[in-house]
Amino acid sequence: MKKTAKTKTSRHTNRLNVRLIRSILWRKKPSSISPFCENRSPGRIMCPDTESSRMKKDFFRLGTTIGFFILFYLYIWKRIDPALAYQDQEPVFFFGCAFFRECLNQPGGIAKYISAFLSQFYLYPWAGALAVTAVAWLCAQSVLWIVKGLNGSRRVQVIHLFPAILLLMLHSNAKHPLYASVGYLAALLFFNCFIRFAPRKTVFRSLFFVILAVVLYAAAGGPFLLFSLLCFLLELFRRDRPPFFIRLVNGVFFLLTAAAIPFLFRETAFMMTLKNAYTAMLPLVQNYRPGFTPALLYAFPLLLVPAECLVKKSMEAGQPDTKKKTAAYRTISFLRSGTVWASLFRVLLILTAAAGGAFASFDPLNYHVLRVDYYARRGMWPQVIQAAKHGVSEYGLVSFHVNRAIQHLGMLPDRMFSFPQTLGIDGLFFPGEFRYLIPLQCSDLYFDLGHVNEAQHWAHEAIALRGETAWNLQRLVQTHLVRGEKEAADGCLSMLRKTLFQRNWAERYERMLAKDSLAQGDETLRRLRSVMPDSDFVVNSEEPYLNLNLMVSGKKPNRMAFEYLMASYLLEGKVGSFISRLKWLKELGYPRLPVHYEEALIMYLAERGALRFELEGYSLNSRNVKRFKDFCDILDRHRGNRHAAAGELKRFYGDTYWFYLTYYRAALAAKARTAGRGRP
Amino acid sequence: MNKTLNRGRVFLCCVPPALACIMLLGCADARSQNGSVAARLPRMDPDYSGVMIPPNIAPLNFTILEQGTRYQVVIRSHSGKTIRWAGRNPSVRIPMRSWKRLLMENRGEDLFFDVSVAADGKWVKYDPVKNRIAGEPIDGYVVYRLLEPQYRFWYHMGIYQRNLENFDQTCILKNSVTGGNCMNCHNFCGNDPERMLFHMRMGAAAGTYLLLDGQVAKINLATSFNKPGAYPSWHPDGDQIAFSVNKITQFFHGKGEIRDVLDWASDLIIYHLSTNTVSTHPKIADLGRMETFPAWSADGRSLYFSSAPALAVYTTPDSVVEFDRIRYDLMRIAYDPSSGEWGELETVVRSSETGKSVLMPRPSPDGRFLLFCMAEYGSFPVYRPDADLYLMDLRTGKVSKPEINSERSDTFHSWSRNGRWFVFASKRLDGIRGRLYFCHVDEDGNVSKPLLMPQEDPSFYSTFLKTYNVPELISAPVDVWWQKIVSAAFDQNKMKNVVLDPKVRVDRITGATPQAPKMKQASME
Repeated sequence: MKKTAKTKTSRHTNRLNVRLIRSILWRKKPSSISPFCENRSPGRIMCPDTESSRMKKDFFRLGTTIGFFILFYLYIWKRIDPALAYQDQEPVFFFGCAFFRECLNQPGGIAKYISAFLSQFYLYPWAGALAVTAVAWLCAQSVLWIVKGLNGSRRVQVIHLFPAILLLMLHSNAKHPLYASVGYLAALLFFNCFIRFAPRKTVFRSLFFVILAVVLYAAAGGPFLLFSLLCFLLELFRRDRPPFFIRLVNGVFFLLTAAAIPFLFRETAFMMTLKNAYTAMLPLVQNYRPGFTPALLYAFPLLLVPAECLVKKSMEAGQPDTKKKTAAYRTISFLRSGTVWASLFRVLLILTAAAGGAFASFDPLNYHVLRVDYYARRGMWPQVIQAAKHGVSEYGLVSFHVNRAIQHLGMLPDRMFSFPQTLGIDGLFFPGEFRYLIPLQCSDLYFDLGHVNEAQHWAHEAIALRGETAWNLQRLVQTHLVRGEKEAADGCLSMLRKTLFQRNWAERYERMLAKDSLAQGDETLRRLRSVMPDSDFVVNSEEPYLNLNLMVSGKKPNRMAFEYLMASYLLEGKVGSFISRLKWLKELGYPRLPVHYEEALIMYLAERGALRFELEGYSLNSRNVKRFKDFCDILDRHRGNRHAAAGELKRFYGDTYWFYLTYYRAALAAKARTAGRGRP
Repeated sequence: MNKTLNRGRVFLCCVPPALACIMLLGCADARSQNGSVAARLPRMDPDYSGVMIPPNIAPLNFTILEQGTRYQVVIRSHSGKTIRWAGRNPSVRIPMRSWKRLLMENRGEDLFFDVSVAADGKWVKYDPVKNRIAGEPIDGYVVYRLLEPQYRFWYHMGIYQRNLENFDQTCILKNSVTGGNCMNCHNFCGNDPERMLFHMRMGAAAGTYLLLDGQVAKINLATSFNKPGAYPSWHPDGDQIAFSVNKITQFFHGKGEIRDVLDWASDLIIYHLSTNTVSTHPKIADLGRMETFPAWSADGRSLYFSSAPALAVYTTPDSVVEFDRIRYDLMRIAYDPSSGEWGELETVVRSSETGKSVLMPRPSPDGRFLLFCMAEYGSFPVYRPDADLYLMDLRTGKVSKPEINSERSDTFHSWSRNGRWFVFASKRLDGIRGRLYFCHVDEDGNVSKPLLMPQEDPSFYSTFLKTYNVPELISAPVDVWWQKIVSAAFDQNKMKNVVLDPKVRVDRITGATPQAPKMKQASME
């Protein structure tokens, strides 16, 4: 008689049941079953999954997991784009002992070191997405191991993916630091270690906990509290010897130890505030306000442990009588079953949760602002303008970069008012009281302008505020080289040589350091040397555009400084000052009057009833003169009522200086007066 | 059996010596090789040649900058065991114990580094690097502030102490535990770590902190007369501290040195610890002058300070401050510590004669010398590349410029307790970041070549981007638990407000003196 697979399976199941009965009778723990599988009540037989059911579940879980993480990876890579996280965080990592020792000066140093290394891969989105996916996958795997350790015979299908969904939501925010996820992973791994290797004897178990807790705190910081709570719950719910009271006391000992460890570390090893001692590296206490997602992430394993124990208990209770099968029981049974429909339902559930979480956590405005900043950092000016169109043009940083972009594209004097200039001069130079938020971007602007001293000044501010990031160091190298400060440049290059991805850049600049002719050949440095100020002046931090006068009037023609100066005058409504500087047009090689300059000039002449305009080599375009007349006619038609005329004027003249001056300048001036900034 | 034993004996007798020979041959030094002699000193970094070495200092680890595949250094002196170091890496790390023993046994003697480098199988021996071991030790610790080169913003900073006899550095306090504020102007009475003060600015922890015999007191030096104090100087009696009160703003240059500072107005006050009072005198708080950088003489019977005419003198009719004309004189005034009476003012060094601003006077503890710095203008020499150190012999009044200065800022000097050493911060290495240098001064006022503070890793300074600021030598470590300071910082009940001496009748210096002109920017408008 042929033995069918079905026959084999049922015989295997029967053998298992017999083994269990024997273990009950002889009070022996079967070696392949965890303490939670011990049958404490004679006559009650636990109901493990059948072999075929387990195989089906394992196969489906594997498929679901692989499919989920492929989608996870693609989402992080293509939608979230880790390069934007790098843009925002500028994570620092250096090879060598000094950086490693510096990391160890705080709790969670190991996690921070590992995260700092992995975060460097954010520069390459596919690699950064891989790093995040790997961490999320390990978290999911840790949950699987926890379930297996608690409830060996149970087969989970999708529940292990919930932490990954929550991590996906957290990493949707570019500010979310990777060390928070790595710390969470460490807590789960240590808990796994505790489940598997903790001795049974209470005293040794406690000692084992203390050792793990101390190591985890030193390595991962605040997430060790999660580990401690999990161990506490495990003590409460484990069902082997000793009695509950002893386990409760042991659990309380775990909690007290957990409370004491940060305190003791603070007293002896780390200089930090009490709050930092307990919350270092926790995603719950980040300055970017991650919302309730970290709470869910931490709550998940805390609910998992007692939930698994309850499930285990119900499994041991066996199949209830048919009439006692409640709707909840039937639902859970369906969800746990290995049928195709159940599996599909689980997949749908997890995908819906993931999609919903991703949708809820994605901030499109912040994404586009970062995208603009990303393109600006790389000098991708057309892309800056394109990215700014996604409803973020009113943001200060976007306006700041758009103006840089249109200047680099040669459009500033002709098309500046085709782009929103609602921030006035703050869209050019960024408000002084907020420059600490974007120190490197301020350095970028001054670097473009050839104002090398200020470029270096703001690079130092960036280092003080954001740390010795690669971009900050690169900027310092450039400004040091231009200023002839070779030793200072060498110091920064020494640091860049220790980075992961800036070594080639460092080597290139080291060659320039060694051979000045190479530096002369570098286009960026050559341009800077050709436009940097040739005489000293005191920097005007309140009104930076005023310094541009000195940069334009010097011996080195500086076109960008000129255009920014003129743009500043236009935005400030200082038309008289603007007019007096038109004389520099010829010197700077403008073949014709730029559009907005002409608009301002026409308006100025009209206000003064001037009949003639004389500027050697330039003349007014009659078409623009007519346009101004039409502009005034529309206003007159509405009897000078600006509000009434706004719609019509915006449609036809919204991209002119006249429109800006009429509708935005006055509002900005009033706002400045209210803020007490003293600008007229 | 016998044959086997014999073979074994032969093996045991012959092989080890053979192995030893091979090892010895492999370890043969340059002396036994037919190498060449380079008739010059080896290039090394840091430059530890021709320096005076404190007998108690940590090893002067250095990097040999000569190209080679193997390196050898022999350190020797008049007596004691020679130190031999060899390696394939040019980074020389001298063993601590051997170093200390050699130095202690050879105080007052010369110390030699014999450097040899092997390249292409040939050894090249360089001229011996000669240094001298001083007879007098240096104070065992130096306290300094570590921070990024500071512009308008800061984030991390702290006050640290370094054991000069080894490489240990510990943090006394860092601003991450005090609300991220600024901490500065740490100072000690007679190099005694038990009598320390420093300031914290901004936030709830703002105030002046006195660490006295393990206890921490937080005081508010502001009164109706003055703002909180700035640059301090302990009186030798330990009961009085002179402070300057300043109104300082930082500004930036469009070309050349980027940072600069303008002191709009300043005066001196005296804080009496025992009575918790602040007093002053018109001679040290003259409305028509700006007084700053107080420094008590070794016997406490004189107060040195820098003084310049009030800012109005340097302000044009259209309210533009000609900051590059501001120059301070060095003044001295007699003082009776017991009665608190002040004597006559005298000008010790005139800026009109030197053409420079005379700043930061620091008398030596033995009363023999006065170390100060001079810069082209202003009151912030750390931002002036031309700032240099000068030494005055107080017996003769003669001022000399020791050959210790560089093309870059050399400032913030502090004496050791025995008056034979001083430390100062110099930006000579890169022009941006201050590094600490030690100099020996003999009884005749001869100053030794500056010795860069050694580090365990010889290449440390090439990748350390923080700056050392306000170094102060102390005889032992500051042993106050940081938590005590933090506790005092945030306990407003513990803050002591000082009382203004009712005898003070001088118009006040506040942060907004009405007469102080605005600093208008030069512009085309």
